[in-house]
Amino acid sequence: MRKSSIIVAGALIGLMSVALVKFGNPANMGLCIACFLRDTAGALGLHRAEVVQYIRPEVIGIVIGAMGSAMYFKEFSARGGSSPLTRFVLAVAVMIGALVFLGCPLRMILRLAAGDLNALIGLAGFACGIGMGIVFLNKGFSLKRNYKQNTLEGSLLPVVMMGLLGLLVIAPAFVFFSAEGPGSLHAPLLISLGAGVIAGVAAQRTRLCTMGGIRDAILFKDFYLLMGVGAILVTAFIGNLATGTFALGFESQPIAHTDGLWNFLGLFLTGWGSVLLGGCPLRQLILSGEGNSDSAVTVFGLIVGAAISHNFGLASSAKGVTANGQMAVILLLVVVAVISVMNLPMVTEKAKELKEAM
Amino acid sequence: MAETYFVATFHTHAGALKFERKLKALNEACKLLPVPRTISSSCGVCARFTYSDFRSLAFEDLDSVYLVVSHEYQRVWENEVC
Repeated sequence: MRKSSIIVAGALIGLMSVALVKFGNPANMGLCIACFLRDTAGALGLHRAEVVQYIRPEVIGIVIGAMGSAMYFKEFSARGGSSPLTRFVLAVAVMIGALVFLGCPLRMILRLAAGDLNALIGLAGFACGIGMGIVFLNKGFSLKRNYKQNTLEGSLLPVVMMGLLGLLVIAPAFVFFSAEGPGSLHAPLLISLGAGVIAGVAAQRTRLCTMGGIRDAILFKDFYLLMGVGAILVTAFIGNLATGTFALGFESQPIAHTDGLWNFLGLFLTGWGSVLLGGCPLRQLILSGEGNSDSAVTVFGLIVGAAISHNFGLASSAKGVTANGQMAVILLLVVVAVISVMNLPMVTEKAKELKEAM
Repeated sequence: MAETYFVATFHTHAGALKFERKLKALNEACKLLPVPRTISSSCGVCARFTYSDFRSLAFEDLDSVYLVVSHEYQRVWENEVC
């Protein structure tokens, strides 16, 4: 794949993100996997934060686009069975970290492109978290390999996404839709869905991954994926300048807080967890569209993590970080550390030897 | 003369490290890289090497081995446990 492809993919996603805000999405939230899964969780009643409830068509489009692309290019393959429950727990941690920061790594880039300097601290935390994950990768961390599964197993998440699209169109009374707040702000359905499909195809073809970009740069001095991330940043920056939505500074940024320590630690947790999972939240959506049921489990973990965040008062708001959110990040850093250590060969092989000796 | 080498893909990152250790124990050169987009859509890591008796090093986490000639990838080995 030529380098120009990933730059084009990143540029498309950057421009669409700015355009989606113009069409009605919340500020600096043209595309945010964490926010959109959180809104979807709210729409299904998994949490009752009334201002963040809407089935986001972008997420549906990304999965369907990735699936269509993978099938067209004969890359769809149902696979899974690589420590699914551990992945679920890691995904919960990744989501809670993202909602303490107020955005997934993709929104972190979009916030930065709009001049939100809090995102720069988030980026530092994300990169350090990735570095921490790499330390364990280099020591042999492994969630063990996956195996071929039947096609239905790999198709279930896209089917669920089609079901969500049906619920969005029919809008039955049991689905919650925000009347105010970020959840009430959205681009028209077909525009959101179309943008999601384009993003899904582009990311599937190029393997675009916000975590992978930094990981490969640190591990291999390979900048292919990072160029895609850079293209998102540059085009969204230009788009924000052109549309007058660029405002440099820490204060009064849309759907953001200024608590540097927790911006750092929130995305540190997200970065560390993403390395162990093998991809950022966007990449998990793409992989689940390609038939990876481990990534599908991860997506459900992200959704449950969002529900926990709002039910237990962990998610931050423009007012700042909550005490519960701070405790959750510390607790989950310990959980991720335990998962990191317990999946090192020095631990797993020792346990295997002991079992064989008994 | 066209450059010829092998590229191995793995089911896990740890598998790539193990393969690298096995080659280095034989004093064979091995470089870990991101998997080229042309042979896999995974987000993983691959090993580039020239050791032709790679079959003797096969283990569960080794996925496939490709022979690369003039940037063309030809799969020459695939793990039976898929």
